[in-house]
Amino acid sequence: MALTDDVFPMDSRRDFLRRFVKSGFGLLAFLFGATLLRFLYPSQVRTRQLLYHPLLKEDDIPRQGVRRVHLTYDKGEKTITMRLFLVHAGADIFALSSSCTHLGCLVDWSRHKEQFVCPCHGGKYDMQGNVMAGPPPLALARMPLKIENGVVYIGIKE
Amino acid sequence: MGRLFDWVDRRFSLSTPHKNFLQRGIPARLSYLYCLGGIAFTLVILLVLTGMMLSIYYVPSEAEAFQSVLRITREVRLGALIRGLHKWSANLLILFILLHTLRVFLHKAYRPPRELNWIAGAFTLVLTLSSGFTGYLLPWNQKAYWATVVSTNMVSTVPLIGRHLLYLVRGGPEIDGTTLVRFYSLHVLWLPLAMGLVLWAHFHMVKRQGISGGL
Repeated sequence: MALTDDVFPMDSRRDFLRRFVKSGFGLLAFLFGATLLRFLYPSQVRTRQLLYHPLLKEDDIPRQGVRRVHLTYDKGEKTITMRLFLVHAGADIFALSSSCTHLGCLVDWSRHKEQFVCPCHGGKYDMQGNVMAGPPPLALARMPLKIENGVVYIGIKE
Repeated sequence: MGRLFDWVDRRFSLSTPHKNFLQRGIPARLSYLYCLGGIAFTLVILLVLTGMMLSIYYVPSEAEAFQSVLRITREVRLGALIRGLHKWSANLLILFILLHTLRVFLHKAYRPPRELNWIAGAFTLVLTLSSGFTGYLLPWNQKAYWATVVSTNMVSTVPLIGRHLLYLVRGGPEIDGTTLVRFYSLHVLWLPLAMGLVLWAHFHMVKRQGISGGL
């Protein structure tokens, strides 16, 4: 600061050292500021689009009831296969995710109990995916589904 | 920088009242031991800055807290660095405050007229430990949860009113979302505010009384 300059006139060596130390602190402050800015800037700027992947033909939708199906799609270099359930209840057709909302185990459809049953902690869901018993906090997730030209598509966030 | 500072200073009058402080006499044999308090204060500044950063992403709720900490560590750019800085500064702060206390004690720098400043320092230590204690719960993982179960249980051993003190600290009989929000509020609002006031008093007295000559 200008404060000490007029009190102690500096010779060039002292002046140099002072500038040197000051710019060291300046560099440090700049780096720290840049770090904080980078931290604040969102890491995911692109909005994630829903990509629809073909699942099966419209004719393969169960007349009434639940059908276990596997969706296979490419994500980057990996091929991902996921288990889900295609449900035809009354006039409604929808797809349910098979991962239990408790801790993510894969549930299965029990034909004679008419329920989705989780093997891990006994969570039970009805045909709509609503919780009937056990620890799950939420209903089974419904996946985005569309039917176009006789083909059923499932939407996955890229 | 110089001209801008002068322009502000002519109106704000910052340097004139501090002239005596910045150019005062100091004991001839100052050693690096006199830096311990300054190091502690630097850590406090670092904690405030990184803490403000973390609060941008942290969500103080029962369902979201743990997930948001994971997100900070894994997804936010440089998130692990900022969180690490906050954690390590917090640990080092306690260490350096204790070393600073030891230095002041051994140099008999607590003697009159500096008793009140010793008391202010003791308050700083208590506030620091409280910040560490409340901050430990915030990751909301198993270790944080059970550590807080055990340590808040100690409160209940106070005779007669122990149970009520326990409910007061936890915000209920159990540790749940209420406790988390309570600790979060203390950690980011109450304790830093109290810390700011106490530290201001601490430095004010150092300024007025000068540095003790030591041994």
